[in-house]
Amino acid sequence: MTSFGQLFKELFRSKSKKSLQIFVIQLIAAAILAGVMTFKAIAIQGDPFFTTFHSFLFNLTRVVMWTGFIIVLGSLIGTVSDTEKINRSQTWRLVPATENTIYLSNIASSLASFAILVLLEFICGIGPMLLQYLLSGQQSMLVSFFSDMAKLGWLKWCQILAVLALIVLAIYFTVSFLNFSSQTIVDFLPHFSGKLTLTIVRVIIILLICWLGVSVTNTLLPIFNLPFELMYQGAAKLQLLSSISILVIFNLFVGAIDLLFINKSFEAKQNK
Amino acid sequence: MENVLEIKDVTYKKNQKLILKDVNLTLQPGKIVALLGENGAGKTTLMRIISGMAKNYRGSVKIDGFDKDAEKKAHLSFTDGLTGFNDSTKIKAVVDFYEVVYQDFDKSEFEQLRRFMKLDLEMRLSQLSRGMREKLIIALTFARKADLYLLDEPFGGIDAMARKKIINSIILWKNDNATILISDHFVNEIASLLDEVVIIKDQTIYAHKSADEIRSNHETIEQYYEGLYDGDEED
Repeated sequence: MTSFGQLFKELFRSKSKKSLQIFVIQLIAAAILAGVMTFKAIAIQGDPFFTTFHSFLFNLTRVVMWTGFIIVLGSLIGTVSDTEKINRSQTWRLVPATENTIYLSNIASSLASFAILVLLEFICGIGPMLLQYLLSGQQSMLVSFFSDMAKLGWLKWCQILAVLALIVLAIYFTVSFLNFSSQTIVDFLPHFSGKLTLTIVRVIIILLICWLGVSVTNTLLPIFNLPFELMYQGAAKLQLLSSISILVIFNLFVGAIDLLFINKSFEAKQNK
Repeated sequence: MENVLEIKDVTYKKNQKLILKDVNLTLQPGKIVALLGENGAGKTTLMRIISGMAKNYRGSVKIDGFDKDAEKKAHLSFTDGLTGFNDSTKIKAVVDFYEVVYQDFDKSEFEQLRRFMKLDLEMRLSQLSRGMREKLIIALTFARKADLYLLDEPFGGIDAMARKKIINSIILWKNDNATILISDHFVNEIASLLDEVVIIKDQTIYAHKSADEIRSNHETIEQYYEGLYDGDEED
């Protein structure tokens, strides 16, 4: 039987390849744009080489940061779409592994390839900025930048990363829930059901998810605050930990429903 | 010897429409069995139920005695349309995928089949004609050392000459104990291979006979199959 690791490796390979391609295209486009912006400045002001390189790094940082947000958002949508295609694909569902293994390795590989892209965006946004500070002799700025980051503490950084990862995971699980539940309902409805029915069913489920999300958050928030109030002190920590708890509960709940759907009713698309 | 496939009282509905009703079927190891029926009779659905792709059915399906989907999938090889790959994927990459996810995939066996089918590893899926794609699917399916092969209309796009060659070679590609369940419209062309015939009609298994039994009644399999629908046409 195929293990989680084998499936994850295979899925991650194809998904991360796509993320890397997007990143390389973005980087080339950003470098060209930063170059154009810099050479425009030379033509107008006649800046010497050192200033030119410095302003190139400055422009590159700006362009990568501007476009980074769009790329990250686009990549998130892309990985969500890839995940659902695989969930519906007979090619993948025929793999000799349990439905749980196939689904969870699919979600985990999407999360990992998305995380790689975010990391690359971060490195490329921050790298030229650091180089720029170093070259311009503003080491003190660098020291204060890193000490500001260190002040937050590793625990807080871990919590921030956990919240971000859990939010992305919640998006994957919610979209799967939407896809699985609507398809299951459409498969159950009488034969006349077409695209219009599917759209109506999906809109109703989206509204239900919104209502459920708000209700669950309101109900669970005070309950989960209590134990953490005893364990930790400080408003900032409290807020983050309660968010993590809510997200963990939400992911466990929706993830469990998704697993139930994929095991019992959500079929792979027929293909020949 | 243990049955390779045991289907008991399977009933399947989709969109409130009954597609299969009280299906019972048992196949023994080493047989080549034709699954025949009109368009929409439920042949593909039955194969999807056997392979675990169709859910929410009543009844039980066992392959080699296993009833869990993951174990069943490990013991069968189903002709898949390869829609899980981008059209830009090279055949080489598809083979790599099969090698990683299917432990019973035999690469050297695939190489032989690929040469037989005249397929180039560097070709992309988008460059393949329907017939070439079907040849690739057959090669991938038989490169696995499974106990049960499910071939769902595998020759539709393949030209008559190549089809004949493939059909004649199928018997060489499987282990002695492996069973093939094949649904196809070219009844005449596969007839010489067959050990048994299963007919789906009126949403259930209408008949399950050995090919020898049919032939002993001085009938060809095609005549027997067509004979089942003669009354319907008169109606």
